[in-house]
Amino acid sequence: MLTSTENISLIEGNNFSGRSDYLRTVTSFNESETSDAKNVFIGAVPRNYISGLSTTSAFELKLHSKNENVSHNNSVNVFLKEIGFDHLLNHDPFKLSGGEQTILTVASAMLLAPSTLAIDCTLEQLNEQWKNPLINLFRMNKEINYLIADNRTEEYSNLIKRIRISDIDKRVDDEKIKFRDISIPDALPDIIKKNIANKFEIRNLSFAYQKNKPVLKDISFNLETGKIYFLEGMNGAGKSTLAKILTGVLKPEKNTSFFMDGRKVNPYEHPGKIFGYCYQNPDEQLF
Amino acid sequence: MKIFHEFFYYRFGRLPFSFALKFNVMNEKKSTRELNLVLIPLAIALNIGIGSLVNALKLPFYLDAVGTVLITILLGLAPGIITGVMSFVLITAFGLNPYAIYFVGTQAVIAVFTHFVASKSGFKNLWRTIFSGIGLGIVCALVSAPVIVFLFGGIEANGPGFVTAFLVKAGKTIYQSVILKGVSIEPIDKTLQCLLAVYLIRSLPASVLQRFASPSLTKNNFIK
Amino acid sequence: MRNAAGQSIHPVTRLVATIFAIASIFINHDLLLSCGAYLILFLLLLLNVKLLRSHVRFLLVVGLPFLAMFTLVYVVFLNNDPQGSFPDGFSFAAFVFLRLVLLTSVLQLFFFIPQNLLFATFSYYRLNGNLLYIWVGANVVWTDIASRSDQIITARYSRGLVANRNFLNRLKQLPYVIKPLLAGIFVTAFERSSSWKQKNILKHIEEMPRENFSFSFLRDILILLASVSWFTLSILTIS
Repeated sequence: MLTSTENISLIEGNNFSGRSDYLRTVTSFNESETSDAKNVFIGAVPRNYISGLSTTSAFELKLHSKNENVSHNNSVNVFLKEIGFDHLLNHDPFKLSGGEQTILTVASAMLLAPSTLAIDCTLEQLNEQWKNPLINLFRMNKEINYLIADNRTEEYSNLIKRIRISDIDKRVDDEKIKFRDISIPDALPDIIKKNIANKFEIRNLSFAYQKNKPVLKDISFNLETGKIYFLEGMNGAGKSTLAKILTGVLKPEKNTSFFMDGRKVNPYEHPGKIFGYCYQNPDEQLF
Repeated sequence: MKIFHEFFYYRFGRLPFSFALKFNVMNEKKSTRELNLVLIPLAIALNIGIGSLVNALKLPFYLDAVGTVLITILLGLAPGIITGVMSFVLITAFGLNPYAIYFVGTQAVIAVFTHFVASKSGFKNLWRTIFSGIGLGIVCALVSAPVIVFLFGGIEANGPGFVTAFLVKAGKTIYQSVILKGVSIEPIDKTLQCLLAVYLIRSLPASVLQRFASPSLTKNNFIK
Repeated sequence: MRNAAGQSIHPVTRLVATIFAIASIFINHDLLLSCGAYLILFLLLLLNVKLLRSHVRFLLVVGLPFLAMFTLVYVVFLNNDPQGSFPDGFSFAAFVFLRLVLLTSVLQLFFFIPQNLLFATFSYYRLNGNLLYIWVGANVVWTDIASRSDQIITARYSRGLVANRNFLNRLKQLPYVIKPLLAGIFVTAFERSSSWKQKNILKHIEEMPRENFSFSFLRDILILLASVSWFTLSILTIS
């Protein structure tokens, strides 16, 4: 299939075009016979591809290691050290964040030295600080062919060979998607329109899961209704934690204050009433 | 069964089968060793989760064998026994309920009884499920009674334990009290568990159930 | 348990000491001996912070409420009547409570095996093949299920479906947690089993070189002697 020297292919196509089915078929993922890791598939929810037999990330990596290819193992180990994954080696794999689990499953799969590694929309969970070194690692390990499905195709424009799945000749990265500010729809009942706040202020937001290990410290910012905000940060930086605090699921530290149109409010006392939250894995909120 | 199903359907909704469509399970082969080895620990964790929550809330039920019943119907007798026994060993090992390990025999009996009843179409409709649950409860009460009398002097420190204490105060012997307590509470608890397990299985799409080779699924109309 | 040098208790010591300890727990009918045994076990638990934390949590959340309920039943409800060989209800309640706590402590010590020795230890006990994978898997996936349940309840909070954080509202979440939990379990089971087959994980485990046990001879002997002494004293209490 691949004739170029480039060993990474981006599987292009719209949502529901069949990219996942293609990757599963190419790697024989749903076959009933046990294979010998010639092809490995990793789907969109990395947790489902963790072995479930390891209580630490280090053991998970060891479980997948094939000792014969020492140099291969070394490049993966160097990559993990470079991105600072070291401090997570003694952690429970199921307690890692989505991005951290992605790194773990991809690194584990690479240690098996398959001939093809298919990654289905998993890398979307990684930020640039981790994704770029990972793609470089893929380029260095030329003995593996990588098939990557990712909705953020613009991040791969200079690197990769492309395989189109969809017949519709509409390249996602040709269009520049512009975000416009959202206006309150006229169809909403008046009683709801009246209760929509114009401005939300957060002052001195601090939070820690464990004492002396703050995740968020003295954060203050304003939000205005109708605008779209992007929350950027490295994997494990506290983006989901911040979202959960705003939604009222987690309780921040005492000196944190929230103001809605100048009026003091407490999201923790009314969870889900001030801010809503859409989850990374929709299966957890479909009921 | 229809009334029961409609009640639960409109009250709680149906399990979505979008995941089945998404993963195209229609052409899958039957249950394999790997599937069994992955599913059984998850069912053990389900037993532990529900059982320890009910225990922490000191409710007059146990609800700690839903996973055992589920696995016995889906995978068979041996996996069911393993699920039940390991659940209770781990519940005690994790420090969630120090009682549990004494009743591993009861969990094994639950799996055996469920397998027997399922092979006789005991979960085919609502009324059969209820009678199966009552029968299971009586059997569990009789099996657990000697353990409770020998180890705890007859009275456990949980909700049902108060029932036994009340019966002793009323003049019954300890054995009579334990058996009467068991026969009054266990059928309700086990019926609830059977109903819950059957409801959960019926909520699964046929394409998912077809991955399991157990003949109980066709005998009890889980797969038509 | 592991000390700073990374040693563990030898599997034979672990198993034999546990058998003697469990036998002692059931044979013994002396309250003072139970107290002494618990003191020694508690000292062993002190050697590892994680184990100690787990045990203290068990005592506070499970153990002491049990003792309170036992006391309520045997002292208040049953008028502190003598129970078996015990002169009063409270002694009996304390004895049964101690027996439960001792058994839990012994099991916690038995199951506290370093991750890298998990497979080697249970293979040593001839727990091979399917039972081994189920046992290890059940120990591991518990955190997966716990985190999923937490995420489901969190999703309900964040959508405003849980009005207040009181006990009754939290209890009402149970049926809403079980359905998505079961759906998630089946999805994971299908994907993970296919992944296992594709990666041939089971063959990897079988071919994985087992870790060599590094243990302290003196410490293991002391543990064995302690458990045998406890057993002997328990037998003496019968007479």
